[in-house]
Amino acid sequence: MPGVESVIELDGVGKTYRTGSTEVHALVDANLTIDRGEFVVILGPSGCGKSTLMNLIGGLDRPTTGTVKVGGRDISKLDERGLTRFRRETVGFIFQFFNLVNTLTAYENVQLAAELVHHPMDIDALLEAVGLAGRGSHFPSELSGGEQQRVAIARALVKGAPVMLCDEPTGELDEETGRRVLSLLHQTTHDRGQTVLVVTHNAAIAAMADRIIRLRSGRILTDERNEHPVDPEEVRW
Amino acid sequence: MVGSLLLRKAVRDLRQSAASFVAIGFMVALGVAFLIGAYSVYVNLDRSYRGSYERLRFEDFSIRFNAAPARVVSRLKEIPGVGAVEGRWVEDTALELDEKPGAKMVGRLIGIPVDRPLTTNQLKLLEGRLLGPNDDRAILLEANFAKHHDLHPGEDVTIERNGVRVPFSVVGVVQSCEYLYVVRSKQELISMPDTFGVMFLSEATLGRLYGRLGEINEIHATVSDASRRSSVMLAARQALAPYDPEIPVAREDQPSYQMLQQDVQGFQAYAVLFPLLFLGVAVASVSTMLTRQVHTQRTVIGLLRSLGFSKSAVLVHFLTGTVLVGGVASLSGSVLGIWLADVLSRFYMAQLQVPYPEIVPRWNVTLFGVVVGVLTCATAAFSPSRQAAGIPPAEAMRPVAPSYGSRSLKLDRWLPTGSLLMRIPLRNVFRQPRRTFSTLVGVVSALCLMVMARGLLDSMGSALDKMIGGMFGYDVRVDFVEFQTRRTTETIRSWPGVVWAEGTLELPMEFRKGGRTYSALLNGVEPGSKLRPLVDAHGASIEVPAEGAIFGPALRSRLQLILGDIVWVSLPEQITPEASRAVPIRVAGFNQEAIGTQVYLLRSEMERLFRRELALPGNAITSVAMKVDPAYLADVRRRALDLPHAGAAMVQVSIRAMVQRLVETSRRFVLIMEVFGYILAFATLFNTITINVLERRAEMATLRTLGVSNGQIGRMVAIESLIVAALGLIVGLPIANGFVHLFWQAAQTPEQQELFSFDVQILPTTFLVAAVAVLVICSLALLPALRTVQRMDLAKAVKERST
Repeated sequence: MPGVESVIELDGVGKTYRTGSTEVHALVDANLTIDRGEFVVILGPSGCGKSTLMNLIGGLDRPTTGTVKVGGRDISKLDERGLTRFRRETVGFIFQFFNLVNTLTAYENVQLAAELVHHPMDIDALLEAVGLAGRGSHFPSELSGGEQQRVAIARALVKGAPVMLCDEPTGELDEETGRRVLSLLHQTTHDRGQTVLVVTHNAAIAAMADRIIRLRSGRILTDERNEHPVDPEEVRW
Repeated sequence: MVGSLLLRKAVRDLRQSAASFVAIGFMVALGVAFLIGAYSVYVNLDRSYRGSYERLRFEDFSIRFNAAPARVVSRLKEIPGVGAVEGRWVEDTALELDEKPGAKMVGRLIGIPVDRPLTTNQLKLLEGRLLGPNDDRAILLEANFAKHHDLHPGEDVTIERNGVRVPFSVVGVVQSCEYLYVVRSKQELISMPDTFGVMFLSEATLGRLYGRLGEINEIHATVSDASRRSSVMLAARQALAPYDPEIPVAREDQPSYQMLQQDVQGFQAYAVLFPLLFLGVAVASVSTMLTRQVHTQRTVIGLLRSLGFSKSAVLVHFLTGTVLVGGVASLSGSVLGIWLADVLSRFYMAQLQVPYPEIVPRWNVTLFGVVVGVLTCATAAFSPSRQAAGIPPAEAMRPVAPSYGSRSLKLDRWLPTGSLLMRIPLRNVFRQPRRTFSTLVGVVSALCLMVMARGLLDSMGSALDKMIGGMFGYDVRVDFVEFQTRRTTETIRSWPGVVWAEGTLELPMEFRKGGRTYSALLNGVEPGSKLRPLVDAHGASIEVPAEGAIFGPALRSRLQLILGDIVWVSLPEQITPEASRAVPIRVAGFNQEAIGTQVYLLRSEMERLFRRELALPGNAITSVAMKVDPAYLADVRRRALDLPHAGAAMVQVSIRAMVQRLVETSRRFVLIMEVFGYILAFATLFNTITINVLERRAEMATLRTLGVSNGQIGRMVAIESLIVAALGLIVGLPIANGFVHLFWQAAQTPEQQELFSFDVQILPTTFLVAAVAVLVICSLALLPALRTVQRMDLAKAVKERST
C-alpha cells in the first residue's frame, strides 16, 4: 500500500532450538512485513511457532537466521542493553497470564511501565479508558481475570509504544470478558494508530483483524488481508 | 500406582528445586555431622576417663590426718567393706630445677612403696622406669609438670629441706589418676606447673628425709561394695580418730576428679547444645523454605485436591521429598560425623593426656544422629505440609490475596517519594511478609550462629582478664613457706624497680554457717590494698572494713549468706596440731570476682583472730605482691626467690599464659564450632537470598519485557535484600546476645556457675564482624542468583504463572 509505513519487517527469519542432540525448528524462513496501524492476528495450533514469532518481534528472543526489523531498526543485532531500550520504547506486551506484579496495585502496575519512558500517557485516563476507574488501589488478587487483563492492557499502552504484542490475551478469560478485552484493545490501539499483533489459536478472533497470518509447523502458511473486519463485539467463539 | 506417581512427582520436584534441597541437605548434614562428631567425642572422653580411673584403681575415698604409724593401714583393711588401702606420707616442699636455677617452686612429694605395686591410685609410666628398691635418690615426675618443664629421665631436681638442698635424679615420668587435672587443693583450684608439681619417691626415702620413717599422713582407699562406702568412710575416720583426721573426701569430691568431671560435663553441654543450635537453625530454615515452596505449588495442591487426593495423601507427598532429603543428608552427615569424632577425639585425648584413650565409633550415637536428622526434616516439613494439605482446592487455585490490604498503603505514605522502581524494594519489605519473614529468620539464625562461638570466646577472654586483673593485680608475687613479717615487705619496697609492694596473710580455712561448711582461702589484706582491689556486683570498688569480712560469690551462694550473718571460721586441722578453734566473723559485704572462693579480712584482724593457734609473729604475712617496672621484672623475681623461706615466685605474665593454656582445649573446641557456625550461617543466608531472587523469576521477566534493565532489577533486589538484612541485624543482634547468655548458662554445670562467676561479655567487634559478614554474604548471594535471572529465557519465563 503506497504511503503506508512498514513497522515490522522479517526477512528469512528462522529459529532453531537445540535440546541435546535434537534440533527443533520452531520457525523456518519467515518473511513478513507489517504496516503501521495494522491489527494482525497470527493463528495456528499449539507448537506451530506463533509465540516464537512474537517473541522474536518483541526482542525477547534472537533469531537463528535472518533479520528482524522493528521501526526500521534491526533488533536481531542489538545487544542486551539495546534490546532493553527497544522493549522500553517500542513494544508493549500483553500476556496470557497477565503477568502483573502482585505486590503492586493496579495503578502502580501501570505506573511501573510509565516511569520507564519520558512521555508516558496519563495513567488515570488510561485506567478510566480500560474501565478501571476507581479500581486503581486494588491489588491483582482483588481483581477478576478480565480486570487483570485490562490492567495489563493499560500497562502496555501507557508507554505509548508503537507496537503492541499480545500472546493469547483471551486465553485465561471467558468469552464475554474476552470479547470486552479485545474490543478495548482494538479501540484503544486503533485510536492511537498503534500496530497490534495478537497471537492466538482461537480462529474466531481472526474475524476482527485487518490481516490474518496462519502458521503451521514453523512456516507461514497463509498471509491474508481481511477486507471486512467485524466489530470485536460481534466476535463469537 | 497413584502413590508411585506422587513419589515420582516428589522426586521430580526435588530435581527441579535441586539447589534449595541441596542447601537444606547441606544444613541437615552439617548439623548431624556435628551432633555425631561432638557427642561421640564426649562419649569417647567420658569412657576413656572412666576406663582410666578404673584401670588405675582410683580411690573411693581418702582421709588426711596428722602423723600416724603406718601400721594403722592394717587396721583399716579390717573394716568390713574396705577393698584396698594405701597409706603414705605427703609433703609440700620448696623445689628447684637444675635446668632453671633460681626458679623456685613447690613440689608435692608423695611416698610410695617400691617393693610392691600400688593397690589404689596406681601410676601409669609414660617414660623411663618406675622406682626400684635401691632408688634412694630417684624420683618420678607427674606428666603435666614434666611436660611443662620439658624434664625427662636422667635430669635432676633439687629438694630443699631445712635449708639443705637434696638432689634427686628423675628416673621416670608418670601419670597419676589423682592428678589428671593438677589441682593443689580445693582452696587453690588453679595450679600452675610453673610453681607447683607432683612427684613420687620411695616412702623410705621420703620418711628419712623428713624424719617420718614408718609414718603416714594420708590414706587412700577403695571399697568392695559401693553401697557401703559412707559407713566405711565413717568407720575409717573413727579408726583414725587419735590422729586428728579431716573429714573423709569421697571420690566425687576429690578436687582433681571434681574439676575433670566438671570439664567433661561442660564439654557434654557444648556437645549437645551446639549441634542442637545447628539443627534448630536447620529446622527454622527448612521450615521457611518449605513454606515458600508450598506457596509456589498452591495451584498444584489445588489440582491434586480437586482430583480427589485426600489431605493425608497431599501431606505425605510434601513430607516425602523432605524426608528423602533428610535421610540422604543424615547418612552423609553421619559419615562426616564419624570421621570428625575420630579426629577430634584423638586431638582431645592427646591434649588432655588421657591415660587410656578409648576411641571407637559410637554407633548408638551415629544412629541417634541419623534419626535426629530425619526427624529434623520431618518436623520442619510437617507444618508447611499440613498447611498445604489443608488449603481448600478452590482457594489453592487462586492467587493469594495479600493479608495486609490497605494497611500497607497507609504505610506507603511514610516511604520517600520518587521513582516507583526505587520505592518498590522498600515497599516489598512490608508487602511480601512471607519473604521478609523468611529472610529475617535466615539473618537472625546466621547471626546467632556467628555470634555464639565468638561470644563465648570473648567471654572466656574477659573472664581471664577479670581473673588476672582482679585476683592477680600484681606483676610478681612471692610466697613463703614460713611466716614472714612486715619487714620483708619493707625490704622488697626498697628494691630498685619495685613500684609498690604489699604483704598478705593468706590461709586456707573452713567456713561454716548452720549445717553448711565450705573450704576457702582467707586473705588478710592491708587497708586500702592497691594490689587486691575489690569490686561489687556493679563494678564499684569496695574497701575491706575494720570489722567483718568481704565474701566472694561462691561462698555467698554455697553458705547462703546475707549481710550481717555470722560465719564460723576455723583452721583446717592439718595446719595446726591443736584442736582448731572456730571464730565468728560477720559478713560485711560481697565482692564480685571470677573465682569466688575467697574471703577478705583486714590483715591485722586476721592476725588477732588466729595469732594464738598459729603462733603468728607480729605483722605476719605469707606472701608479698608487687608492682614492678617491666625493665626490672626478671631481676626482682630473682631477688624475691633469694629471700629466706621463699617458696615460689609467680609472674603475672606467666600466670596469664598458664591460664590461657588451661582453657586452650575449650577454646579450640569453640573455634571449631565457630567455623561450623560460619559455614552454616553462610549456607542459610545464601540459600535464603538465592531463593528470594529465583522465586521472582516471572516477576523479573515481566519487568524486563517492560524495558526495565538488568542493572535496575539488580539494584531493586539488592536494596530490598539489604534493607531486610539490616532489619534482621536490628532484630537479630539482641536475640543473638540473649542466645549467648542462655547458652552460657545452659553450658555450665551448677558447680561451675557457683565456683566461677564469669559473665557473658561480647565484644562490639564480634557484633560488628557478624553484621558485616551478614551484609557481605547477602551481597555475594545476590550475584549468582541475579546472573541466573539475567540469563533466563525471557520468552519462557513470562509464560510462568506468578504466585
